Amino acid sequence: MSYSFVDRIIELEEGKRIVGLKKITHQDLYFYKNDKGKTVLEPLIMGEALGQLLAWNVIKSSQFQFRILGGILHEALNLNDAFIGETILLEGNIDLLDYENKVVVYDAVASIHKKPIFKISCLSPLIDLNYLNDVNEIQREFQKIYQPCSIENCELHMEDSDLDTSYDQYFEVDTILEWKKGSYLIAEKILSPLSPYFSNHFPKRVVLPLTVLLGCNTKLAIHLLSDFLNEHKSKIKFKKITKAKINQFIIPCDTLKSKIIYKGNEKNRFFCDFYNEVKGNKICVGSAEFLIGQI
Amino acid sequence: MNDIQTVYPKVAKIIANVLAVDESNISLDKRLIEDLGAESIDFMDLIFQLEREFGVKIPRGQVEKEVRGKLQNDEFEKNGVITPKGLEALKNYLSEVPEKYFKSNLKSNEISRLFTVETFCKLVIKEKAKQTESVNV
Repeated sequence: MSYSFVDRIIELEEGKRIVGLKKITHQDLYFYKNDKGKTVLEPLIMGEALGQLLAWNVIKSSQFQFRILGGILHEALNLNDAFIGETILLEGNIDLLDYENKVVVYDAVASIHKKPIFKISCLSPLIDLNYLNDVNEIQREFQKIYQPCSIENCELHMEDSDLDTSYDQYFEVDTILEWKKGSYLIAEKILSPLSPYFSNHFPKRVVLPLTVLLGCNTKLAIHLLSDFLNEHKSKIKFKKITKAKINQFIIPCDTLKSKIIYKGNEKNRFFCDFYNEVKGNKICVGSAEFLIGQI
Repeated sequence: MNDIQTVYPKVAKIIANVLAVDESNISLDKRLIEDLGAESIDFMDLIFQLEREFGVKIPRGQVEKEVRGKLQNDEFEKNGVITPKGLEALKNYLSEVPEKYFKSNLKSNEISRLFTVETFCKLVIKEKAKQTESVNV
């Protein structure tokens, strides 16, 4: 199953704006059970979908020369849950697309029935498309998914609450190395090349998606918080990630080491910093905010 | 907007934000990479935010281009190492950087390691001045 989350592009203004759709199905794999026992899409997958949407705009605007990858996530905001069967409307706006300096700045929002559920704002470097993908293959894929139409004419599906699926393991770690209650947690995860998130990410150079890295961090943080707050994990929700930046590729078979540090709280809001390394080299840093109960 | 003290507060705030450090840790003499932990991706972000805040366009590689000035490539560097002449030009341009940081075998890809908070203040002032000049022409 390919790590691709944009089903359709319905509107495209090159270098400026793009709108797409994503239907949530079982095959998305990345779910967890919320505190009400309902199966919810892992929020960071919506962030991934938005990033991929903007990548399509850059790909098309640059006439299949460049794509975006990684960079700095200024902010990711988790606003509401998304369920199997629902259709997500993905909208992205480019603030700056600079080919000379190879950088793009953008923000994007995912909504369900006009209710925003996830937002991101990012700065990403432009990477040669040919470095990661087969250009002809990408062109064919674009032809398949680019089906312009107005939002009103799109079929936007409702939640199908009869389905019950939970695959929570992809963002879990393998070993907890150190754990100081209420303070920090250090863990390790061996990145199996068979993991589904490596599929097609990317055909020419397989690298770990930033959203999986961030997903591991948020899961670990929830473990840390759940333990010392004495709350069930399902009650602790990731609300926001800020200033997450990644500076190197992580590849299959790498061992990812993650450190989560508890920074304190303001009433019901709990703050953590995260730090990731591979082979002793710093890879990613950032901060995250969590809530207990409703997001 | 023609002096360091005028632009410094906003530049310091942006740098603190980009590097996720406390503003109290920022001072004019702090080097972005060596003292504040900046990485190459941070420079992209920093430039974008400075451009947006001050309404200027900062061409990438501007500092190196201006340092080289009239020096030919092989006058400025040889095999990636800055020549003595190049180093003098660099010291003159980056006058805010303490002498001790200019090593004799400095590589051209290490120039950005010298940049301080004041370097970016000067860059903003320079670009604002260019903008004012072109408006008055």
